[in-house]
Amino acid sequence: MFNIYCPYCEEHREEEEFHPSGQAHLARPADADACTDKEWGDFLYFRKNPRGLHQELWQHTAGCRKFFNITRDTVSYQILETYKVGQSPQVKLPEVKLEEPRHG
Amino acid sequence: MEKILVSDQYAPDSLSERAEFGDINVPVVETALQHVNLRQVATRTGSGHGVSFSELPVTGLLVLRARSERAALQSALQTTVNIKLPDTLQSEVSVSSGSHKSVYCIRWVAPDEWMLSCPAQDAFDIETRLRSSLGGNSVAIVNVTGGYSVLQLSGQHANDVLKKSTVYDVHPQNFSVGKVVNTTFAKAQVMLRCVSNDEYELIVRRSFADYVWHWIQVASKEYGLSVSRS
Ligand SMILES: [Zn+2]
Repeated sequence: MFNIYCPYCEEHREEEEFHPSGQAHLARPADADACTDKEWGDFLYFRKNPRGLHQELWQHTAGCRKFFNITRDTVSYQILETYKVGQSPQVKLPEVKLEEPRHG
Repeated sequence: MEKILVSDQYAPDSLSERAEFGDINVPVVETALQHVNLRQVATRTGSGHGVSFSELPVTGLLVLRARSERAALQSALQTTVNIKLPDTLQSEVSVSSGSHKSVYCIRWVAPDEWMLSCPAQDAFDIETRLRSSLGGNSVAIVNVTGGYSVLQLSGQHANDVLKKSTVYDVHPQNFSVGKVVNTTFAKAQVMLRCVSNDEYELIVRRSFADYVWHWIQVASKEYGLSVSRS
């Protein structure tokens, strides 16, 4: 049994009722016509894949069908918090310095 | 609006059997399990078993959605069917006064969504009255009567059948009378309500009704299953 707390149903529910929807807090470029191809490409296609804490969007598909956010550890699967869309996370993610991909 | 003929799936001479084939002037609404012939099954299974199953007659179902205009919906419901919006994961029931006793039940689905049930013949009338009472408020009302089947499980082992069918904790301590949850039932989804002790209501998608009916037959085999009309 793996229970997830739904902030809308206000109780823990079985994992089977939920569906993950990838990285949370993706900000769409404010002016899509004026942004660069790199900005647009990053928004559309590039996602974090951290070893450790990750903020994710989930949906309570078999329950209230609402989307909400989870701060989850991708190594231990521990869920540190769940919060509604529009709310801010309480758990702060560690600052990760990304290496530029090496080519050639 | 002309009255709809609602077929009684337990009647010895059900409407759909009587309606002339191809007579478009006789629109007959049938339940999802009409073809199962529950009347015949009921006589075969007898009564007094651990689990009792029934499919409710065609039930009027309205999906109500409101966000900021929740108060307007609340008062419209109060004047139309004398019912209040239920709390999270709860349901409310009201019975109309007068000679013709109609039962209304409203279920919490999500913070901005509810499911109202009523006699099938009243669904259109209630929808119309809600709309006129709501005026220009931004509230969505959708009649989904044809999309679902309403089933009932009761008996001393009904809870045991649920335990092996759903991932939700249906122990009376957690799932008390009046509580309603959307969850899984075998491979289907269900809106599950605890009507009273050892009595549960399952609202399933019409296309899943056969599957759920077959599942219940197998799952309740060890307790004995009787089919009845609720
Ligand atoms: Zn939920």
